Amino acid sequence: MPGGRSGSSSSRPKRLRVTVGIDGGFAHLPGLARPRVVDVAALPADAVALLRSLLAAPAPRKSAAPGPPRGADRRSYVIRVEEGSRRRTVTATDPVDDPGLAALIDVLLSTARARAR
Amino acid sequence: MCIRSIIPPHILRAIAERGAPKLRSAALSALAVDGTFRLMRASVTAAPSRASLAAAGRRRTIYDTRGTQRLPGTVVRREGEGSSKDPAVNEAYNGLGGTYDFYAAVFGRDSIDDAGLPLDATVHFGRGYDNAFWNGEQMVFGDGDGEYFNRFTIALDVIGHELTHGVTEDEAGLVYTAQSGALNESISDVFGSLVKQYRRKQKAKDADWLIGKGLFTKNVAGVALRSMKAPGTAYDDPVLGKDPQPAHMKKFVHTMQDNGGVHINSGIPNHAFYLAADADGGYAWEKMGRVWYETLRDSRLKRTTSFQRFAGLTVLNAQRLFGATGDEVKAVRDAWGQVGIVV
Repeated sequence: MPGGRSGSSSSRPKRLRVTVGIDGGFAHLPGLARPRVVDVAALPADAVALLRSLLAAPAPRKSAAPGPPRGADRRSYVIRVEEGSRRRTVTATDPVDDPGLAALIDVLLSTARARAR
Repeated sequence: MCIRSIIPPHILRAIAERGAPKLRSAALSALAVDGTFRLMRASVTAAPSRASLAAAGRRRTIYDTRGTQRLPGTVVRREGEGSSKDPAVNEAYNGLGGTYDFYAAVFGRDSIDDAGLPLDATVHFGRGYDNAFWNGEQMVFGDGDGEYFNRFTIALDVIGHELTHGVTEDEAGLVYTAQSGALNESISDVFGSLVKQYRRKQKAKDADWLIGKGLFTKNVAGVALRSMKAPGTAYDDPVLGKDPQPAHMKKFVHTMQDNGGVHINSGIPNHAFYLAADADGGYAWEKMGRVWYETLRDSRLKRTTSFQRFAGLTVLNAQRLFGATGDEVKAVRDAWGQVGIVV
């Protein structure tokens, strides 16, 4: 995901809270599985914009859950975004077909990883 | 070598016990042919010879998604083409070949579906992707983040593990959740480890019984992702956590994560296989590998099987292969008993 840092302190979200978790996968590890808080201030501006757009978008209609995908060792991702009273949870499973969502997951995971060091 | 048709079972058993290695392997294959159960399969085809399988059966294609998640990606190496400059491509190609050869030579199996299914694998999936998976059609390998994980093609047993998911899907369709899912995972660990031991020509006592050795970078306090010999001891790292695998039913983990703990509770059947192979003491793929393989192919194995039922079938298959009073049967039964499953 291209883009610089999220800009000046006035435009930087102060109450945006984001967690990301990984479930399953060949390398299922407890330290990776628990939801990790993402340092929003360290995110690129376009990632923050995408997170805000997720919050602003209407909730997706609930549909009959599809059966589990074929295969094994796929990872699932859970992104939780909160800002004030607005909350949204986004889930995805490998492979993540939406390139924008895949890029967002990449940047959230790498930012969470940097925070864990 | 085919010695299955005219030699009486007791002679085959004697060869399996005391014959030269090639004869032992062929005798075990012959003993494994069981008309009672295998004829219940929907289709029966004449098995090609093992030599012809190994020579003609491999049909590998390696793809590269170049950091995206759009499968399968661009073809970068086909069967018979020379080495790439990219180590991940060569590791995937050679790992698929080594796994194919293992199944062909040891079990007379022609690829994932035993009917020559082409072997497709993608490398460089995603960015800093810390995983490998089987998507029902092909194997997929990430590069790792470089901080905690190296590329996932680096360990042969990982490639054997993923390919074996295809075998399990084809043979038993074990549902990927709870105990049947943990067995699905364990079977991939068992045969992934056996592929590595077969490549190294190691007996049970000489093998490391580690899954994913080499995956961790030097930044991680750990030796591998899992240990079949000592579940729960593979890593203990400030960031990645502590290896949560149990080695006994008393420590069975009830969780909603990881499809009901499929990569966690697999430690129990993993350890049972290790204990059985260690008691046997020989090449683990010859006897215990055969027992587990025949159990996987047993039509009595339900898609939602429990550890208990799977364990019972391993004993029945050991009895069928080696006789009701054989040392192998005792080894299998004792192994399950040591992990808290009485058969």
